[in-house]
Amino acid sequence: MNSDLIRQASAEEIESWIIARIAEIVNVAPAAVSPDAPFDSFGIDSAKAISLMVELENWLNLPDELPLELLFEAEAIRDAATGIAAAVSDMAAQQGGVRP
Amino acid sequence: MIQDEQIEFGGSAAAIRHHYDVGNDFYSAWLDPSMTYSSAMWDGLPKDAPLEEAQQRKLDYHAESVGAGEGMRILDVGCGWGGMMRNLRRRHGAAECVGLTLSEEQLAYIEQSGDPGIGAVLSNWHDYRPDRPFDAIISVGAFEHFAHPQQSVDERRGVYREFFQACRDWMEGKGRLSLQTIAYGRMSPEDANPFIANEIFPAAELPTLEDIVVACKGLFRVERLRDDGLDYARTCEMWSNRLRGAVRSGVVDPAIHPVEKYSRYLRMSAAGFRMRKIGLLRIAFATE
Repeated sequence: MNSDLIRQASAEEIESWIIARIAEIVNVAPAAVSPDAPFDSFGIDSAKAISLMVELENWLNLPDELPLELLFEAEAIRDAATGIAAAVSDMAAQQGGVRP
Repeated sequence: MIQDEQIEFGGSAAAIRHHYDVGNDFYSAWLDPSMTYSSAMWDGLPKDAPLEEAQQRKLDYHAESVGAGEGMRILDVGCGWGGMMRNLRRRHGAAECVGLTLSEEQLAYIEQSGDPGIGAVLSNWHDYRPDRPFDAIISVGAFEHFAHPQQSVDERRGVYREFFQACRDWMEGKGRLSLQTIAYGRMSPEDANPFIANEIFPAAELPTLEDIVVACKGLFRVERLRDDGLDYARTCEMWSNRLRGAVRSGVVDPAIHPVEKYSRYLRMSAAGFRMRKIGLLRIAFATE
């Protein structure tokens, strides 16, 4: 595999990224997307939701998929971002462990 | 475009081959060792139980739903690679299992298993005529293929009713049927994603719970019913991760196999289950 490093984004950075992407998909200003709202409250279909996850994984340069429940089961986008940041940090720790 | 396309009963053979004849090697790279290509079951297991264990739980659940036991003759409609039948023989004492499949690759896989108590027939349920009755019937992940998107609701229910009637007849009016199928949840048929509808499962239409209840009326009594959509979400995510791992380790070559397509399909399905757009019904029926 490639040797690219995982982007260890903070929960805040991930939250901003998700909000910007949701705003783009539903065509509103990012300020209109509340971080306290759950992801499934925006009427985004499953195809677009998966595209968003794949783009997020690419942006973070992750070697593995993020569990979808981090996005779908979180009570708010803010919680989703916190969960994703923790998962990213775990993956980076694993990557660090095997790198020369 | 108008095509002179005949609607086939009991699942279009061409459509089934489109999906399942990608190659046994491809599926074995990311399914569990029992080659079970349907949702696993975590009920009664720890949340982090591995896929293999949850697939075993699912196989046993259906066996228990039909009261599988010593000496029984059991039919598996849509038997896949035969995992259900092998489990019925090994762990539940079934004397004889017969599986129906429309995939030649699956038939060949089962025929090389070497168990004289397990047989497979290349036939859809509509044309199948058993020479002897069965004591019980299990069908997992086949019902999704029975109806056609071009059929009206009444026509679809008519097909489902024929299936329930056939099951009843094959058991001579006495026995249990355990069914597992994806069904529409909060999503209606019109909202179905064209990628899944056209690319992955052409010529398939999902039932609603209502369709099933209406179609079985007077033929079977619903004994127990579960919607385990989150089980399927987790199963799809695990498959997708295993597929990714198989690519990384070189077992699957993306230049040969439709990795991108399947990965997208598996994750979209998982999202659909998590959003409750679709659900996973597990229904145990008994003759009235």
